[in-house]
Amino acid sequence: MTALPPPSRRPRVRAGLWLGAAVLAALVLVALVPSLLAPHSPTEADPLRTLLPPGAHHPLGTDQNGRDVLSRMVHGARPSLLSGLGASGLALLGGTALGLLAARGGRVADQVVTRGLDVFMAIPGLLLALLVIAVAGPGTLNVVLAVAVLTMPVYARIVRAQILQISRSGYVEGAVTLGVRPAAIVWRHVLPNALGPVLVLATLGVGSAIGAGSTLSFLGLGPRPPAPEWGAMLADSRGYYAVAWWTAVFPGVAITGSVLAITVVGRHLQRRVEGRRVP
Amino acid sequence: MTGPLVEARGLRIGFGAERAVREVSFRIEPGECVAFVGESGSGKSVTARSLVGLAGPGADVRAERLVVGGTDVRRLPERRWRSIRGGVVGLVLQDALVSLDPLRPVGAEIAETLRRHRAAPRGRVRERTIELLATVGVPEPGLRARQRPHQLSGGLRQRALIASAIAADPALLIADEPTTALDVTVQAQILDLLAERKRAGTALLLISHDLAVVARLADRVHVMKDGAFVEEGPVREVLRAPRHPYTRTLLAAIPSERTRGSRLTVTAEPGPAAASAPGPAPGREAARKVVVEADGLVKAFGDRRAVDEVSFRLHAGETLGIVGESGSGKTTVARLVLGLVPPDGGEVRLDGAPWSALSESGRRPRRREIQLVHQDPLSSFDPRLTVRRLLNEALRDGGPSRATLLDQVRLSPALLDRRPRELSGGQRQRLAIARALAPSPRVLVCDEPVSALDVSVQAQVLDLLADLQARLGVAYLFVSHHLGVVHHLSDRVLVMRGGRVVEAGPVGRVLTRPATAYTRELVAAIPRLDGADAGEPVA
Amino acid sequence: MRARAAGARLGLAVVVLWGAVTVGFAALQLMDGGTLDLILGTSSQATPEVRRQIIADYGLDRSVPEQYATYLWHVLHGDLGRSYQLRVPVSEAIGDQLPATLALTSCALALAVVVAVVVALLTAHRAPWLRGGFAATETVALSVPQFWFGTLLLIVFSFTLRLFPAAGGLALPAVALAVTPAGMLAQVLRKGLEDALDEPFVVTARARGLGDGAVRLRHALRHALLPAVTLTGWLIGTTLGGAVVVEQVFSRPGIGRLTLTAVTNKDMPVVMGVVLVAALVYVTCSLAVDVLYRLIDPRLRTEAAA
Repeated sequence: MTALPPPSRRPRVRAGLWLGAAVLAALVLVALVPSLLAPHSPTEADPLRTLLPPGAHHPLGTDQNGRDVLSRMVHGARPSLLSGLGASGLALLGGTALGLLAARGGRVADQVVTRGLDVFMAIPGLLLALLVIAVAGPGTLNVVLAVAVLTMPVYARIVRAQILQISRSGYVEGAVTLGVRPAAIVWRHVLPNALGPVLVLATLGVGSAIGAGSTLSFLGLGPRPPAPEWGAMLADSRGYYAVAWWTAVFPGVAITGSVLAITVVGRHLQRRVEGRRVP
Repeated sequence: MTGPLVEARGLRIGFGAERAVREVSFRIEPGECVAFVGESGSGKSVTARSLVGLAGPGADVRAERLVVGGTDVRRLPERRWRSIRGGVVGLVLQDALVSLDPLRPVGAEIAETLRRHRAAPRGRVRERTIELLATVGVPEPGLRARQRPHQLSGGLRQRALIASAIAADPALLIADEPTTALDVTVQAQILDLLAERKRAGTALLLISHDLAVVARLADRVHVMKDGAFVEEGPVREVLRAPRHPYTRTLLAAIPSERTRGSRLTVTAEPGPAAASAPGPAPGREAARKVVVEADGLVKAFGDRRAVDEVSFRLHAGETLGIVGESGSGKTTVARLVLGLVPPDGGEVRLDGAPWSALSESGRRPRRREIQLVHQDPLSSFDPRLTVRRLLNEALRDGGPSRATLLDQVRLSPALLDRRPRELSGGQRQRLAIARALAPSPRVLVCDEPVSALDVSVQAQVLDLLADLQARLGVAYLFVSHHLGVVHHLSDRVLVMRGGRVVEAGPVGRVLTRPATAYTRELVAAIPRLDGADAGEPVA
Repeated sequence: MRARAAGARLGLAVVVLWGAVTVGFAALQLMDGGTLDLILGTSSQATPEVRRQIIADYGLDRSVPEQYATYLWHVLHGDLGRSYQLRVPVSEAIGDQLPATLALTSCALALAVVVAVVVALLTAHRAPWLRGGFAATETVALSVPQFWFGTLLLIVFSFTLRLFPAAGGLALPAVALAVTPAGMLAQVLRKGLEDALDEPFVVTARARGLGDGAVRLRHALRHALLPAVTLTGWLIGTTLGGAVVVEQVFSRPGIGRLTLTAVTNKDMPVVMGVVLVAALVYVTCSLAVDVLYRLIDPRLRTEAAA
């Protein structure tokens, strides 16, 4: 009646989505079969060919130990992707369990979990991760664990809020009036509707987990050298900025590109999931 | 100024490929009230807003002639529009809670108009703001000017919104559904206020879906459908002797005292339309069994008693209407009857057996007996599920089949694989009714089931409800703020106010010969189609 | 009523701080190798006398609840313990480094807020190319790791153009640190502005004759600030955390270097101290934000409406 027609829909930036999907596909491919694209060994040092600029033999140059930058980047995809997936998956599992407990476990459980989450939210993410590493020690697995701990509170809060909101919704009430059992209501209506947005968030979380993991590696808390890891490669390049920019630029491009691709594709999923929901 | 205030010839408005308004022409003379009437999507709002250059983002407005207050406004630069807006034409929208900035005091909104159009000397803005609030009938204007919309009642904030629109004394006031969000008694007051502005010489352009509201205020009316005027003329002629079939359909669709027992939709069948309608059989209720019995129901939220000592009986196969304004507690009564909230006092009994006193698991086996049709069907369906799966969840062994249900509510089986969002408002409400009927209930609680629908769709749903009751013998507990709808459908009625029942009895008696002052006030406030000549304020 | 609500908020803040202390203490108990070895570090040939002395000094011979109570008691009095490595009080170690970090963090936050507000005001509901271009830039800003962006700034502005010093300046680190919060804030603010601009009260305001700029500044911006203000806690946390890394990139003194050294050396009192200080900053800011929120949204001040 009084509602005006909605503002004409903006032309979706489809090109960005396709580019993101292509980068993501390339990332997965490279992570599965790195040898396909890596021209050299990622760890083999050559003291005679250190800090070579990009050229025909070494498309992205070599590092201070004479290792091929492209090969190290390609071989760095698998650990990055795996640690991102692992951290996001762990955080999703833990967060869902905590959120479910808070929303459905009664008043006391809700209070304890919510206050606990408050504490974790009060500590800046990176410091929390550093605390975990201080306790558990550096290393690939501990970085995954640290990133999972860092992101888990967000999932827990959203799962809790979703479940509470859906439990009060008209359609859950409708199911109650139809005489559907509580367990069936949770299984059929609450969980599927609550988890959709959280799963999408976890997809986006893979991206931020890759970023956070590389940050910890950059700080020297990740895998031991000479393992190829993007953050660690950037840490190695310190001190050569003036003479070998390529050692500092390309690994960063890899991190940014991966995070960006996952973000673009994840946002697209998010819009689609939200589009199906009641406004 | 000589000549018409507004003259539009061949006005067309498009949004991309969509043509919202196709070729309309109209004039508004100084001091007269013109109304655009139509259902949602008819283009009436967009047409009116094009007069202030606010047809919406991406709107393509073309016209052979479009003159507002002596200015040709075709391709008018934004800067010059700004002096027309508020200065020549004021705009009042539906719900002041969202049409006034919720974060600012209402006085600041009025002062904004005054300053923008230099309608008051700089030093007198505050004083003038308070005067304006007093003019539109706001008590304690000095205090109210400092308050925010949420601190005012619906009627007061609508008055404040009107004050902000008339602050620079525009020659034309556009009122776009100005009373739709309001209770019926408040609506009457706001219509009186608009009539007062008209007497003071302001021309009015009234946009409404409600012919009765229009009848009360307008001199001339344009009936709009699909972006064009189908009929226009003096309001009395159009309402008494409509020439266009659409106008006739609209008029016939309005539920009221007079439509009781007859159909609202014009059907293709020959003969008296009332033949298939249920027709209230007088005295039948005495012979029937009581299915729901509410005894001294009390429900408090905090210190406020939302429901206070409410008792009634619902007999098998009858319709009991509950009317009341917002905050009267009628919806809480519905939820108590459904067993969705426990009462703080009193009891609901179903078929003579305890109901509200049972635990939820105790109620579950008998849940199928009493079902709900909600005001907002969209939110009552799991958005992920298709129509098929939504119905499957409700089906019971021994109950009607899915095909029978769809047939009963006249929904095409082709819709089975759609999701609720992909249905129209009317289809959704039919689906809600089908789902509620699936477990073969004996009672259907209908909470404002038609208030979100256009009048023609509302008519279809009301006819459907009447047919279903005649065929299935389901009892309805029918909650509504709309007296006409309740009068049309109910056998008996409860009038609620502030959580209490103020009056109860057969609908014909209560709503035509009210025994209490409050019901009399409610009934008197209903705008009537024959009210075109009754411009007098309501007591 | 308001006093009670304020009391509840304060109580909550205390609970959060107590939780942070407890988390820190729990972390200490979870350490493998035992506190004693950590304190002794590599000098494992310490004599039994030295060991006994340390055990007595740090109260390691007492039960865990007793140690916890002592720790709480000390923290309550502002005593965060002694660093295992630096052999100075933790509060002193942190106090020395905190000003540099706070300067960097506040510069970055101020920069982020200004950039975000300007970008959001200029691009909300504007031509698709403009809006889309900035939206894409923000997505990139959120995907770029701060340490790498800092590295790029160093390579371009210090080593190639030689406009800024590679160490010691505040401009480049502040820009590097501001990227993430600016991107996030700009997105939230624009979403808030666009939601507000779609509200009916904007139509009313425009129908009064207000221009686009006035509508954005006087009406919509205030609405857009509300969701942004709730982000403040997250923003400050991210920026403080980011400062640890950015300081490392630009070889700046500050909490970053202190924390990283402490983490690598398992100097737990320092790590816990930093965590506690960060939590304190967060909690204080959250309380301030609560007040700010009520200033912006008067609806919360007067819950009991007419």
